[in-house]
Amino acid sequence: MGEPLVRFQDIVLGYGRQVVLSDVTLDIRRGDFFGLVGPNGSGKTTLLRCLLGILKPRSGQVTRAADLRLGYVPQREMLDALFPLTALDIVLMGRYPHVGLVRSPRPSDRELSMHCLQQVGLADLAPRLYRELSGGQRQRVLIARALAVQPNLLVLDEPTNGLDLPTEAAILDLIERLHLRNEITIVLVSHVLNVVARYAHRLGVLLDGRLLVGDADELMQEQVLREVYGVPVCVQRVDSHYLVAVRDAEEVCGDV
Amino acid sequence: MSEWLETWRSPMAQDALRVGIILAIVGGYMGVFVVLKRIVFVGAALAQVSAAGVALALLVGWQPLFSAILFALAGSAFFAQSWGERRVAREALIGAVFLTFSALTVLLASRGAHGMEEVQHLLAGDILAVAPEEVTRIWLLGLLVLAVFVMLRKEFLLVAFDAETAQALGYRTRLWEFAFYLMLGGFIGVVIHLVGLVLIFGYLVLPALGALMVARRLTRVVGVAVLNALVGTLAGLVVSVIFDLPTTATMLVCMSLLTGVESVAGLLTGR
Repeated sequence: MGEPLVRFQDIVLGYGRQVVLSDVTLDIRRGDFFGLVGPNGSGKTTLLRCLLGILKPRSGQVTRAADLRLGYVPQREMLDALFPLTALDIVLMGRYPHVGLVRSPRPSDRELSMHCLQQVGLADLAPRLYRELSGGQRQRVLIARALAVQPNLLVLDEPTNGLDLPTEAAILDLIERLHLRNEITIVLVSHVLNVVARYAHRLGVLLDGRLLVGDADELMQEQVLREVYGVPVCVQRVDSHYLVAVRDAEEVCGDV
Repeated sequence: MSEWLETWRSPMAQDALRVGIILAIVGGYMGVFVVLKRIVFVGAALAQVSAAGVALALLVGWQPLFSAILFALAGSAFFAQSWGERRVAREALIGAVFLTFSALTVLLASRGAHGMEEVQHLLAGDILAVAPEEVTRIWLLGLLVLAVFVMLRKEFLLVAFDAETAQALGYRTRLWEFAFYLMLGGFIGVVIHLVGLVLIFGYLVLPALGALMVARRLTRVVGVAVLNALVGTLAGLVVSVIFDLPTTATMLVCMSLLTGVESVAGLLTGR
């Protein structure tokens, strides 16, 4: 693993008087595939906002590499499909900071955006309205927009929310392909532990306002997850997949 | 026939047409963003805040244009913030501002020399009563607002569509939101004391609504919205002159009819 792209050192995060996360120390290294998981309300979004530079820490230090280029894929549900924008229009938004104020996107920006759509397998749908696309296609458009930034760090917030199983698998395979082929560092935020644990090299698990960081094998332990989620769980490994299931207190985890 | 042609050719009607054209272009363009951002009633509330500014100016002897712009800008700054949205819906806040400044306008106007007549004028306005020297001023200020808006359209679009990603891309979204409301408030402030609250509100809502029903791409939506506003303005002026009807109301009815026809066409063609 390479040098850190982003380094959090003893940061404390919160809103108003409320502290959400404290003592967070984390390196996102070049080439990393980092998964951030935790139950709803555990502070995933808060940490994500800090990573994106939207939320400043109350204390501690965040250091970003000079060559950091961050591509962000928000949750699809956050976007308003009322806007009459095509897939290409949306991908072009990733070029806006490069285009600069007052100017319109150049032909080279359009070419790059089309190339990004091609990378996610949607070149044919460039002229289609975003609102007419399926959930999986919309997710690909948002990934293409993040790629248009030409990122070395791609941050994805719950990219598989609301998708059916085959679409979820296809999106995750796409993210993995981008990670391996394009050598893009990935931060994948999700509340679905099984999904993140399968793809991520390292995991960050939020527990009681703190972040536990380790390899998937270290953290995908029944004891750890029981603490995180507050319920007894079974963890099984099948090939490269982790299967996590909630169990009754008396139940014993069986073989798969 | 010749009588209405004569009226139509009068400087008063021609000035009204000139004012209507710039209002249609700026209002039609900005209205698309207002409708897409789901802030239609912010437009109405800002117009009401601005109207209170005019009422105050008339009472204390300030320049109405200056006061209207000042109030509109203050209102813009207010709406650009996210006040207490974790506790109450934004609509409630907009409603409260609208009600407060409506009451304030009536109270201030009731103490003025023209009393409720002034309230009526601020509400319904009269585009035919715009003074010739105001026409150039409205055009210059309208063109300024339009030019700034066109130049910054892609940033306004990104912030409106996906503020979080805009922030991640390095845009200071609060500043951009403020700039947007500033443009909107500035436009409203410039024209409110001349053409009234209802007409401005109409320009910001009706043309864009019809355009969104028939056009599929954003650029076309903007084009159709401006065209709708221009057609509604021209048709309203002509009809009001021919049939001697209240101009503002006739223009709004024309724009509404156009919106209605486009809505039906949009639904029938499945756009």
